[in-house]
Amino acid sequence: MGPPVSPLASLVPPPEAQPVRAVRIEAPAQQRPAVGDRTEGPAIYKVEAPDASPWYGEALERISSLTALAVGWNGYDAREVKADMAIDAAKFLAKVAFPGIAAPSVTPLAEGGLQVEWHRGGLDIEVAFSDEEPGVYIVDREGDELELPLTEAVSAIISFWPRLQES
Amino acid sequence: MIPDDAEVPEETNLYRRVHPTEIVWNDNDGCLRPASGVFKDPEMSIHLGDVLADEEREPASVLDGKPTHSLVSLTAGFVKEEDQTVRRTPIPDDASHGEVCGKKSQSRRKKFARAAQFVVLREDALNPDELVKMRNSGNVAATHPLR
Repeated sequence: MGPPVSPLASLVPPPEAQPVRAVRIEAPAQQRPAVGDRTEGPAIYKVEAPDASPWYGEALERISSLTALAVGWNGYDAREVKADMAIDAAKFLAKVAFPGIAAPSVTPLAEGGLQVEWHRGGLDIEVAFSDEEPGVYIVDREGDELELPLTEAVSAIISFWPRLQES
Repeated sequence: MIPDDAEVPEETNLYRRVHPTEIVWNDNDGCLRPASGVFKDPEMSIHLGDVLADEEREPASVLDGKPTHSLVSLTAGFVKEEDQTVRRTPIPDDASHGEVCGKKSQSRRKKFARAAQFVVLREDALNPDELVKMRNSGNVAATHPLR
């Protein structure tokens, strides 16, 4: 006879759904400078972008939700999304969420990073926040291919933004 | 039974699980695609189609116990042309397990993402934001276009 099994065992969610997160990122309700507000439990990092696109708040929620992914979330050996990568991605979005720019996709990376992506206007732009391979990768389907350091991510988005506008 | 050291034929399908958060709408192509980050690992886990066939398993069986994941495939010939090697690396629970080994630059990962075909696409598990983008573009079906 095996060990006793808790009657709650079947109620435990699968690992990828565990509500454990390293950081929560939100837009502040009142105007204040961007600030890291470390408290008990998950760190809350508030990022201000008062004139941001309507999708900005949803993007922050999405980044926060990705930090709740547990080890192995990709069906293999992915790591948890790191809090500092999530904060860096949120700060980047605060700088590029101009009114009119289309919402990007935000995807997790298996090594613990995040990637912000736009695939529109004949452009494929991927901004990777990663310890292993941070940077910007841009494919212009009219011919050019660019690899840039992460420090140039904001200026790259500004230069391409007319092609990234919402349709 | 296929020996672990047997060459992987070019036409062999290589399957990889994709988490719903890794599937994005690509407005340029008018379809959902796996994000390029799916193909980043220099020793990328896959499931070998010839072993699955030998075991009389459907490709979708590699999603057993993964109710929200989707499944994509590439061919061994395609990845070999991208300077990758394909290894048979069975694990206790899965004889079909293998690895696609080699450096995967951003450009190469992008090629993988564009070449990957959805075998199973669990649209109901996808990020709603991506489905909104899909519908705003005038598309009503998430299926990968045939090329």
